[in-house]
Amino acid sequence: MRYRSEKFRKKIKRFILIFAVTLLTLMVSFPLFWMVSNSFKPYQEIYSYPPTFLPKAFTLLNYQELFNLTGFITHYKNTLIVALTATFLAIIISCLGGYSLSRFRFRGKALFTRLSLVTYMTPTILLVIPIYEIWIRLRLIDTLFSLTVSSISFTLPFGLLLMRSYFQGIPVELEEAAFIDGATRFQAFCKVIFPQALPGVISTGLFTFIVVWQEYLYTLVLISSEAKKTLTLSIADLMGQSAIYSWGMLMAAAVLMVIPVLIGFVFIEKQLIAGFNVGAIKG
Amino acid sequence: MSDRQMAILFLVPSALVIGFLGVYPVIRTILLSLFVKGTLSPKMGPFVGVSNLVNILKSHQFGRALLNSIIWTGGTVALQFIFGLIFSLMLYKEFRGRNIMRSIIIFPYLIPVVVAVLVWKYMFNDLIGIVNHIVYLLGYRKTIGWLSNPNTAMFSAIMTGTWKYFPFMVICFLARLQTVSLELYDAARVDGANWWQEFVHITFPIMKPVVMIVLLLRTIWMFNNYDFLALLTGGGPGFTTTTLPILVYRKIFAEFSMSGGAAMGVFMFLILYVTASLYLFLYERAEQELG
Repeated sequence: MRYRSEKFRKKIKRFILIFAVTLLTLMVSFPLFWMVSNSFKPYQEIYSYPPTFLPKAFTLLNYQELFNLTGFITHYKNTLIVALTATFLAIIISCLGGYSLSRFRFRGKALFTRLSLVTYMTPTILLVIPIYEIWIRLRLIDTLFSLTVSSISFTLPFGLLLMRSYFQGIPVELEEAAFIDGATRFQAFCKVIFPQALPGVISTGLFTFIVVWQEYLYTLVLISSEAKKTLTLSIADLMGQSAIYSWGMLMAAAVLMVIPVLIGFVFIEKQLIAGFNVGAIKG
Repeated sequence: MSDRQMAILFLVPSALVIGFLGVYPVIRTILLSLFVKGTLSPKMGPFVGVSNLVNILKSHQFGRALLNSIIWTGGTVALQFIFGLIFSLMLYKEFRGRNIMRSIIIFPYLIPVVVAVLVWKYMFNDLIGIVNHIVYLLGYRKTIGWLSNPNTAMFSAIMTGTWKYFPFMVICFLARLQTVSLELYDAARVDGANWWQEFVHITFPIMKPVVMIVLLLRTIWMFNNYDFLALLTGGGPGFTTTTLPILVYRKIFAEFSMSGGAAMGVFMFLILYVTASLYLFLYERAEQELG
């Protein structure tokens, strides 16, 4: 009898735990659910009382209005261009640099690593002042080019150290075997080493994309013309005009901005849950 | 090409990026803080030494912003820690649906800041926000302007910031907890330990090193954070949520005093640096004393 009641108590405890976790998870995810739900509600329903949980009269009008009334599509394109280019460049630069740091010995290596870590921890508000000056002096202020180049620095220190540790994990013998087969170091790097370090490349790329995709401060300082705005600026503008635009339209903009991040999340989810590389997204 | 040449060649792009966009800006900002320079004027004014800094320290705004920064950082980091601990301890146990719940909990950390801010602004809206509706259902019959009322703005901002950033702690804590073998808990249970004893004697000692580092990182990041509050409240209403990074931005791009902003930024960095060093020093000493 005692054994059974103990088992019963265990079951109850387990049930309470699962119930509590589910409840808390629902609470944490509610804002995101609310965003999606309201993006499909017509204007009248958003302002009706009491609020509806799911859209009663499902509509795509908010999305249509967003495309027709604002420069959202242009801003979406700009952000994609900046984020994808910066990601591509960050991958190449951190692969080359990480390889150099892992395979060669030279003076100043420790200093270089330390300096890159220091810049990673420095407040961006402090870095942005001279960066603004640099692009003004080069007459490249208010261009997607200056924004893209500046964006590379956000995750480069992280990417460098990550790629270094990946390369360090690949045995040197693998390369030496390629040398014996007549490959140059560059060929060995491309054909033998790079494929081995692919998981690191993917996480460097995805983290860079996620960080650049949502960047605000540098964009605010560097970009001023309407045609060159990125999504964060675009939504920040709309937010300031929420008296004119419906909240449903704003929610539609938010949903569209989350989608690429959601796709990226599917790829890095396992790594994130295991705790790897979480430091990539400082903020 | 020799190995040495190749090593240098491969490092050139990284060195350029980190040099021009990291190291040079830090040095330049320190220099700027010692001279007089307007944001719009191309030429550097006269050298004034630390008098930029002295002026800032004397200003009433600076003290207020520093206090706001401390409240914002302290409040969000403490709440993130509490929620991070609760969720990681719950999601550590195995049960059906655990993995999907972990993903759902972690996701807010990745969503763009502007999206998080926008959704919460909508929910906090005084007329049609769901938060006021819930408050109404709970029996309070007045509308609250959560983000527009000076008395509630900082509180609401801290809650919102906590929601966005606590998953970082969950991720780090879970990663650490996964290294504990479950046998340890079984053994403790055989010895008759209750959940509190388990937590104090097994879980917490294992988590302590991670807790110390994560608290430090989050403090640095929350203190330096410009985007979140700038988008959520813009530092308002009045001065109630103006933190140091927001004040620095205003100095440079609204008051057009580049050197004033630089001096404030440098001082902000110094505060952080001293605090972090002190924290690490105390932590290491405590570790040594405990053996």
